Order: sequence, then structure tokens, then C-alpha cells
Amino acid sequence: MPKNVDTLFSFDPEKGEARQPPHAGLRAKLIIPDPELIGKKATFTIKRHVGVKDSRPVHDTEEMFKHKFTVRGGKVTVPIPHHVLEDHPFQYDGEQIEIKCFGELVINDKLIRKDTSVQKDLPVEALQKPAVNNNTDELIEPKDIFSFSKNLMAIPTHHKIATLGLLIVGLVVIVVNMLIGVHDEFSPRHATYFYSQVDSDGDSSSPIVKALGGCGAIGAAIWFAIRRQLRKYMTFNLKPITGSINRQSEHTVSDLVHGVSRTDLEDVTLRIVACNMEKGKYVRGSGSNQRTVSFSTPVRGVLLYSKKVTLIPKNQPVENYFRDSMSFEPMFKALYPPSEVSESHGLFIYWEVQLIHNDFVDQELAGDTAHFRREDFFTA
Amino acid sequence: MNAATEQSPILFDDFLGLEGEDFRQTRLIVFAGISGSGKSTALKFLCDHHPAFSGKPRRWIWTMGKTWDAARIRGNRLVVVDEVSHPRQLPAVARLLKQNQTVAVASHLKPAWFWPFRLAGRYRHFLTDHDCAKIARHLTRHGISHTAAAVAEFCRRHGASYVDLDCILERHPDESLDRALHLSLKLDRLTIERSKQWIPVMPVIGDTRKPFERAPTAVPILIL
Repeated sequence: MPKNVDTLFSFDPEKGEARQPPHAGLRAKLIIPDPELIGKKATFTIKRHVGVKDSRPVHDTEEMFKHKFTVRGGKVTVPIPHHVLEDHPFQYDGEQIEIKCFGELVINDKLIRKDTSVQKDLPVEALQKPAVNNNTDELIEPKDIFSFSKNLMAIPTHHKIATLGLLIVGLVVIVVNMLIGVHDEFSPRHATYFYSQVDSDGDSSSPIVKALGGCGAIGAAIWFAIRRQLRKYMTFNLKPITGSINRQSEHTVSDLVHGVSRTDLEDVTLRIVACNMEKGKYVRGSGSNQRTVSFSTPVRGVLLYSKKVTLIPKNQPVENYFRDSMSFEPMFKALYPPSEVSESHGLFIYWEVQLIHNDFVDQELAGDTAHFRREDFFTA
Repeated sequence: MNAATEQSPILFDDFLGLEGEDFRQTRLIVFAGISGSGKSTALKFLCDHHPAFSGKPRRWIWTMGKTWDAARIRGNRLVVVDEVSHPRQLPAVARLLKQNQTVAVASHLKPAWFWPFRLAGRYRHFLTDHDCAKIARHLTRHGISHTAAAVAEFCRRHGASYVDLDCILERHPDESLDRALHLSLKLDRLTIERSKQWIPVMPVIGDTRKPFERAPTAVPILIL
């Protein structure tokens, strides 16, 4: 039978802590009309909850405030400490997650069945951000088009020699491996070099199939060793940022990055992009095969800076060609403030510098978000 | 121990060439590999479709990571143990071998743990997570473009696991494996859930007669 418990939030500025507007004096009035509940233990908790929009979600909840008490009467007033609201908690309804802040009253009145409880959303201001029409996926992760041969020619000589050496050695090993496989396939059983024609159980097995497997493994190893070298046609790093980044501050792009290319870069584009990152988890698989997928979904992508340069000569500092001023203001306007419940759940801020080139593997540098002040995302 | 739900039918890719294997004299068959690589499906194929065992007395044991009472499981042509994850479960496997004709095991143990069982008779050991070709075929069946390098990179990072592959492709639909893998490496993380309580799911094998499914591609890896 329902017990009609309820929670009412109200502001009483006179009872708030001094110098802490605008949320000073938030109180929760807990209404517990059922006399049977008197004497029961109860808990009132303010929670921030990240709900994952999936059929098999893994949610996460952060306790912002907890008050335990014993029910003595029909009404209990609980002052909410200032720290709960100083971070400006807000409700968020995104693509893959939703974030809610609510008060939860639980009265411990059942031994086995579910306790009497009620949830009520915290009276927080609605946070509206302008619509963003960019293709966030394309903005944050542009398709990387590159020419293998040009990229190979652009890497340092010793890497080139190492790569070619790897190619030659790999080729020789593959050829020798296949020759052994063919030899062992057609030789008498007692005359094989390496691959046996029988397995340990006495069943026949094919040396050529075994040799082909070995060749595949060698080829894959060489390919990945080469790909690791492809980004080495240039150095590209973020410079340390001093101070905070806010809406008003202007930054020279050349103060943010440093890089030198070993080859001429033609038609190269430098972009600075930012987005909100929705993070959460869900489960897939069944039985003992379950996987937890921790996802990061970029949303509300914002292009902060983009400039295409016709030519950056080799050995010249890349930043010299991007001496423009840029501002992070569009990011503060368009993105929601970070609301992180844990490392794996919540709404995060992400920004990166991209150097996009059609002949070489693109460079990406993820920026540090510690320089942003959360409050800057709220002001108009 | 034996209660399980069933999943929707799957196309069986006989990458181990099980259909062509003669298991008549084999006492112990072990499938080892990461979870999601097809061990249980291979066991199910042996049970229901292999001529050596199909239609004969069989028994399927879901161990749920625990030991079990093997005393009353006797006289079967095949006993399937899904799955062995701790050496303390091996004495029960030994007892099953003593009381039944053939035992097939899905295992997370190192192969050396099964060496003593060679004394019981003929023994076969199959690795289910070393075959990149089955991943390439899975992608082709679903019309997902991929390069050999991307398949090799996927197998290097995740092993040849269908579950991991499906997780990545679901996260980044309408993309090639190359791009989905790239995006997954940047944005996502897959972790294997080691749950103590889980509901066993019995694989259901659909059509086993598709011609492209029949050629074994795994390099036979046998414990010498």
C-alpha cells in the first residue's frame, strides 16, 4: 500500500549561508504522513545519475550529499549544503546518456521487500545551448587519406633504411619459409626440414598450410612496423599553456603548437576543434562471454580555427605559418559544461589540434582541459 | 548446472575443420581460446552435427566456474564440459574420462595442464582464437569492407573473437573495419566481464551446409 511520502524543495535565502547566492538556503521538506513509519531509519540523498541509453546499460551514480535520520514526525526539513549546488548541476539529455540530479528519500521499513522511497528532481536551472549543425564525427575524426609511397619517402633516412631492411628481410624470410613449406610438402616424411607432415597424433597435416600461416604473420608484423614509422615525417607537439583559457582570452595559434616537417607540406590544413564527449558503458555478449564496452561519443562539435596553407617548406617551424589569433569563445557558447560522475561516466569536454594532409598520415594532438573554468560554460 | 537459454541461430564456420576430423578413437578434445572465439559453438557442432557423436548418448555440463559431481555421469558417448577455468576442475574431468567414452572441454587453462590426460588415450587440442581468416569471412558475410592489415591488427589486439568484433562494428556502424577499428581505439575500450553469476547460453547452429563455411583455415596447432 503506498505510503504517500514526498519531497518538496524550497529556497529560503535568509537561511542560507552568507555570500553564497544564488542557491543559498535550498531546503528539502520531507513529507512522511504515515504514522507507521515513525521510528524507522531513513536516508535522504542527493544524487547525480548518469543513465546510459542502451538496452543493456551500465549506469553510474555519484552521491553529492547524504543525510541519515530517524523519522520522528510527519515533516522533516533538511538544509542542503552549499557545495551541492555550487557546481551548478544541470539536467542533460544527450544522444547516448542522460544526466539527472535528484533527491532520494528511502525509509527502511521492509525487512525483505523494497523499502518505501521517493525521488524528486533537484530544482536546478534549465541550461539551454544553441543548436550545433556540424558533423561532429567528421570534425573530430576526419578520414585520414595518405599516400604510402610519399609518406615513406618523407620519413628520416635511418627509419627509411630500417623500413626497407625490414621489407627485404621479411621478403627473404617469407620466400625461404614458403620454399621450406613446399619442400616439406613433397618430401618423404623422414626428409622434411621444418614442417612435419604429421601431427602429434599421427594425423596428416599440410606443411604448405603451416608455411602460409607463418607468412601471413610475418607480413602483418612488417606492415605494422612500417605504419608506426609513417607519422615520423614530422614532429608535432602542443606547447604548454600558461594560465586559464576563458571566453575573453585570445590565443595565437603559434603559441599552442610546435612542429617541424622533414619534407615540404603542400596544401596542409591546421584545425582546432572541440566537442562534448558523452561517456558511459554498456554490456554485450552472453554467458561467460560478456564484454563491457566503455564508449566515448563526440557530440556538438565546434570548429574553433581552420586555416589552409599552400606550402610549408621542410625544416621550417610549422607554427610560423599560423600566427593568427583564435578564441575558445565559440566552444564555451556551444558546449555544455563538464558533468563528470566518474572517469567512465558523464559529460566531458574534449579539444584537439589536427594537422590534415592528403599525402601523409594526419597528426592529432589532444588538448588539456584543465585550463577551462566550468563557470565559463554557463554565462551567456 | 545444465539449465541454459538459447541464442538465435548462427552460421557455423568450421574453421578448425572439425567435420573432417575422425574422433572415433579420441578420448579428450580440448578447445582453448579467449571467450567469444567460438569454443562453445565448436562443442555444440561436435554434439549435434559430427558423425562420431550426433544421435548418440551425450551430456552437456555448464560448470559456471565451479567443480561438479561427476559420479553419476557415466556411459555417454560424449560429455561436454563448458567450461574449465581452474585447475581444481581437472579431477572431475579425469573422472568423466574414466566413466565415459569421450570428453570435450572448452578451456581457459594453459595446454600443459592437460598433458597428464594423454595417459588416458588419444587427445586433441584446438586453439579457437588464432585464425584471422574466420574474422575476414565473418566480415565478408556481413558485407563489411576490410583490409588484411585491419583484420590482422584486430586479431593482434583482441584475438579472433566474434564478440569483440561485433562490439566494435556495432559501435561504429556503416564503417569499414579499418575505420571502425581506428575509431574504437581512439574512443572506446572493451573489457571482458568476469561475472561469477551468469546465465549459460546454448549456441544454436543454423545452416551448416554453406559451401564457403566448410574449408578449414586455421593452421592446426597441436600440443606435441
